[in-house]
Amino acid sequence: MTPDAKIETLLEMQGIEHVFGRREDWVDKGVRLIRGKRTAPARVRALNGVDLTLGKGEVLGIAGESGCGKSTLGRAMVGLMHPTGGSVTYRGQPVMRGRRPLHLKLQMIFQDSGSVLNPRLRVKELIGEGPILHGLLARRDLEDFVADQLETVGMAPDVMNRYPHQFSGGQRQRINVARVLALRPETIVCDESVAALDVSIQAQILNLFMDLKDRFGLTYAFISHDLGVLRHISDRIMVMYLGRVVEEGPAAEVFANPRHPYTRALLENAPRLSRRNQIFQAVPGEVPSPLNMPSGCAFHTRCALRRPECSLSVPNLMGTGAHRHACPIVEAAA
Amino acid sequence: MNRPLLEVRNLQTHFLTSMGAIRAVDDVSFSLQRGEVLGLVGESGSGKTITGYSILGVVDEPGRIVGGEIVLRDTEDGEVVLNHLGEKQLRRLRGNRIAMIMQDPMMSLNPSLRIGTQLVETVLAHRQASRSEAERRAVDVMRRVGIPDPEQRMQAFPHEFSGGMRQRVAIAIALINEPDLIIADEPTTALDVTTQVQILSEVQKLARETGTAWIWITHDLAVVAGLAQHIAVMYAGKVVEFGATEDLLDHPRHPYTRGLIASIPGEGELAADRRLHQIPGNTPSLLNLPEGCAFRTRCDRAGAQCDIQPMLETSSAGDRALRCWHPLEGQSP
Ligand SMILES: Nc1ncnc2c1ncn2[C@@H]1O[C@H](COP(=O)(O)OP(=O)(O)OP(=O)(O)O)[C@@H](O)[C@H]1O
Ligand SMILES: Nc1ncnc2c1ncn2[C@@H]1O[C@H](COP(=O)(O)OP(=O)(O)O)[C@@H](O)[C@H]1O
Ligand code: SF4
Ligand code: SF4
Ligand SMILES: [Mg+2]
Ligand SMILES: [Mg+2]
Repeated sequence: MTPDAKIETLLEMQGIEHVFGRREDWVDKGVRLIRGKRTAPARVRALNGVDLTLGKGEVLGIAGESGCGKSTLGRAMVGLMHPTGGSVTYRGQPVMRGRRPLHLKLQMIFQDSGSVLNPRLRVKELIGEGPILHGLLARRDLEDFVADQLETVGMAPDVMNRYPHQFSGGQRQRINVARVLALRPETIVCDESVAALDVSIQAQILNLFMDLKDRFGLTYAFISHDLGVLRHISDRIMVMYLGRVVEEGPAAEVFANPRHPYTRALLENAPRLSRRNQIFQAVPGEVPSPLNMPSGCAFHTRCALRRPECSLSVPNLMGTGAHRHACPIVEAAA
Repeated sequence: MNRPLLEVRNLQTHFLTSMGAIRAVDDVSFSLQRGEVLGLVGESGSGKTITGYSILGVVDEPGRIVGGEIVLRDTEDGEVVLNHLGEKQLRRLRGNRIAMIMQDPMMSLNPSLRIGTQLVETVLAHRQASRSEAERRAVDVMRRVGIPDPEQRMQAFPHEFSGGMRQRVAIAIALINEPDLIIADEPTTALDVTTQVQILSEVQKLARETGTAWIWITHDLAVVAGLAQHIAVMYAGKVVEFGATEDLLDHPRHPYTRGLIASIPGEGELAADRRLHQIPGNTPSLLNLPEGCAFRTRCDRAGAQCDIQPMLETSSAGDRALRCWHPLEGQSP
């Protein structure tokens, strides 16, 4: 599965599973008290046997619809969460020790840049406190250091005394990037990091990510539901459906020749600038609830190529070389 | 061609704040036929939402429509000037002939009422219908926007839904009375592709089958490329370019429109260095706009004349409008 044997593997995930057990919340409790009915303890299977490697310097794009487990996977990658099954290692070491992430070299950038920045801290503290805490920086060097970081993300040093609310969404995302870079990461997991931004600002941030990659040799896992962004930024692509990888391969190849029926449906119908007067065609059927996962190939409830056997067993990834997919029916037809 | 369903002429909506007048909408004009989708495109803060609020008559203090006219026609060619109506008359039109899907779905939803109740009430407020008829309509519209198990989901409260589901409910509420005009404010921006496509296909069907006209507000040109027949591009409160979708996207003439198109990722040939076109500089504050053309400080074609505000010039055929002293020749971007 390693994209290129010569490339050093940084992150490795094997057989990742994650089941969220749901505790009774106040709504359930209300239902129980008023109606005397107990809401079934829901267990959400968010990830189901995901394998993944991330080679040094590559950009891995992760696509899939809402709720398919992308963020859960991202959090497990950086050690913010302990998956209920499987192993995650970074440079051969586990990513968590106890309940804590182990590697400073692995960082995550979230979508909502505004809300992750503490509104009571100035830019200076937002960027500098982490490195001081981790012993990467002496307090007397704070201002010089922050000025440097701000410059890296294309902001003037004199903003360091301002508070987050004094910035636009795009500027806040830059500050967020500066904050993460201040910890000198090697690998960054971006979860919908440009989703909330206007195209013109999105272009600035995507260019910034690429500049930083060139300058510092960074590695990215880039989670996005925007296929245009993924096509632009990714070397390799992984498509997920309900907690499983259904297709993966070199980005150019997957976009040019998608194989799995789900990937095809996704790419054929997505809005594109070049598609005028498009007749939008929804993927038929409903997104199955992860509380009630379809048997066999989870896509069988919506798949046009479905055969009776599709609901019997879970297809594994197949195909030759780096481009692989999890559908025996298209494989047989090819 | 029929007379348009909606005509917005020289609309100006300003916020009179202590820091000065914020000209959120400042000379916006466009028109829209029945069954047509108009894409209203521009970056954050350019005035798209306030244009929608102005049409609906829901601009909050200290904001006011200070100029222009918003004309809505009915099938008999009777017409009303929306911004001359009183609140009572407007209320009769809202949710009935015109509806808006808000950027934040919770703005259209009452957190303490069941989803079903909210849909049914929207029907009963404007239609002579029995409760069971209204309920049937509610279930039907929920199914159309792709909510699984609509009968059961009618009992749910908004907080029990994910963000995407809430947005679909907000869309269902806008659709339920089949209004003449729906203003949709970035309703699919936060949704994933499959959900987005499902909603877009529903929008198209409605436009085709019931003649509903849509104003689709977005910063995503790719969405309106497939959906809209016309596009209006806004910058700093003004429409800077208007045209038929194909023509505008293939031959943008305003430098800002061209910049927007070029900064979209993942289109056409990928640049070898993985860099996107960037429009230089940042969106200016509306309190502190450059004199003359507001795009002047970011424009590579700016000249001395650009110190003077250019007017929106409409082509003789009326199908293209442009606000620029030195427009592009209409070559491909
Ligand atoms: N804390 C939690 N408790 C219970 N279920 C959860 C929890 N967090 C996530 N889930 C469920 O796990 C599944 C995967 O969630 P995840 O957030 O990884 O999705 P995602 O692919 O990132 O979606 P999106 O595109 O909407 O961000 C979903 O069904 C979600 O509802
Ligand atoms: N209540 C308000 N008071 C003052 N200014 C406002 C108010 N609402 C909006 N504005 C300003 O009006 C301009 C246009 O806003 P809006 O229409 O929401 O932009 P868009 O929808 O294009 O992002 C922005 O500069 C915004 O800050
Ligand atoms: S395994 Fe069957 S249901 Fe699944 S994608 Fe392939 S054809 Fe469709
Ligand atoms: S009027 Fe001048 S500054 Fe404005 S867009 Fe046209 S050329 Fe550029
Ligand atoms: Mg997520
Ligand atoms: Mg808005």
